[in-house]
Amino acid sequence: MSFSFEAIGTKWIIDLPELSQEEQNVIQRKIRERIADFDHTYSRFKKDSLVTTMSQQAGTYTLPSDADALMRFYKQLYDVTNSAVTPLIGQTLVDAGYDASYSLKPQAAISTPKSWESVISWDNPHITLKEPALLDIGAAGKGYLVDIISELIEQDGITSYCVDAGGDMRHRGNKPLTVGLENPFDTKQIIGVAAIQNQSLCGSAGNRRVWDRFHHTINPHTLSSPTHIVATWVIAPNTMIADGFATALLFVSPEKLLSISPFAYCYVKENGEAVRSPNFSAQLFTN
Amino acid sequence: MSDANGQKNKLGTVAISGAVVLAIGAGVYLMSQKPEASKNTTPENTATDTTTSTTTDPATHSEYEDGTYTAVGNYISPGGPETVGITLTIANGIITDASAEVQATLPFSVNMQTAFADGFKSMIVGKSLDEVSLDKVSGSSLTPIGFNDAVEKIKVEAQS
Repeated sequence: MSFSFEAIGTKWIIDLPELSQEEQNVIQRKIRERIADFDHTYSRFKKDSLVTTMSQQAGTYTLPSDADALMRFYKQLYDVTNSAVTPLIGQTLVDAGYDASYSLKPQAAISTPKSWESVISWDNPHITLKEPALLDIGAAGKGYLVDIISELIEQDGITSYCVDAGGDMRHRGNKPLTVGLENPFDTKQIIGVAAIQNQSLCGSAGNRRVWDRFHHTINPHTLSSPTHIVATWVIAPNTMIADGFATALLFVSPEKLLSISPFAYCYVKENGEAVRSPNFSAQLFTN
Repeated sequence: MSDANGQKNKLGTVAISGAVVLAIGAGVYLMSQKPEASKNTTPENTATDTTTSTTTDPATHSEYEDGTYTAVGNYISPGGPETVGITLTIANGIITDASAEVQATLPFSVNMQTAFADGFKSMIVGKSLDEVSLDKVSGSSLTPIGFNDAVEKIKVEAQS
């Protein structure tokens, strides 16, 4: 019915109700290869990845064919969030301590990312870096990979599935999926239940990857991690958008993102207040 | 029913009537474009006697063979680009049935933009995971072992 495995630093659960055990084994192998392939290009945690190479040497590189959608979306996010969401956040995260060896010890000085225009030139499939730069695509990369794996599954003619990468998920099928919204203050609890069908849902919170004064999302303008919002969820037409928007909501108010795509949101403020859009299909628990 | 749910019912009604308006609008558009029939035969281009028709509704112009036609309409809502699937059933040159299926999220009217931006607010209440039956849970991603180990290591160092 479903299988799970660890990849890109989180737990994946794939539901394929139409498939036999043997068929699931076959597709699991394809999925894990595709993830490894993606990781080999984009992971800043791997010594031999393309992203690591680009952080050591300026120049023009050819990215795989999956890069264009991601690069274009990142530029939209960059523009609409006033550069708060940027792929150039890699060095900032490393300086803060979230480096490839998880030292979790902040440097005395934390780098401020340069502007997109001053470093990156994108001409699909070529990226030119005017100086060495460590790209981090964590804001939308996992969601995008969920879409890639989903499309791999769909190519086999499968119409009923759920691909879930650590709570960032994409669903297809004729029955809705019920998803508990984890309480950011107490992970043994949920604060409500969302229902999605043929949509993607991503959740983001600053409660797990926490060290020193940081969590895994850092504001490049303040060099600090946002605390005014402690959890966000986004339902969107695809997982790349849901993932990117779940991060972007830490930096801009929701209607700013409508120029990119329709979506629904819910977020929790640090005082425990939940705010949800009228179209966020969930029941939040009340007293 | 909480306020939020009451609000949701009203929204649903508005969204549905919006979709119906679009369906009719799209239907008129589609008829003027002579959509391809969903069955294999193409509509016959027969001239008809229109002197007896009492309306100027293009749907009564029996240039179209009976059948079911489907097409996808595109429109821009304030919330962004949307698609709507339209299915029309035609008998004797008249649309006898029309249905629309909104394929993305709910379309937004200009008035709803503010409701979207401000959102509905409530204080959270937590319920134990055991109390509710769920397919999935979503929150921050579960961390890799390496990360947790590093956190533990630092705690140990800090204590020494």
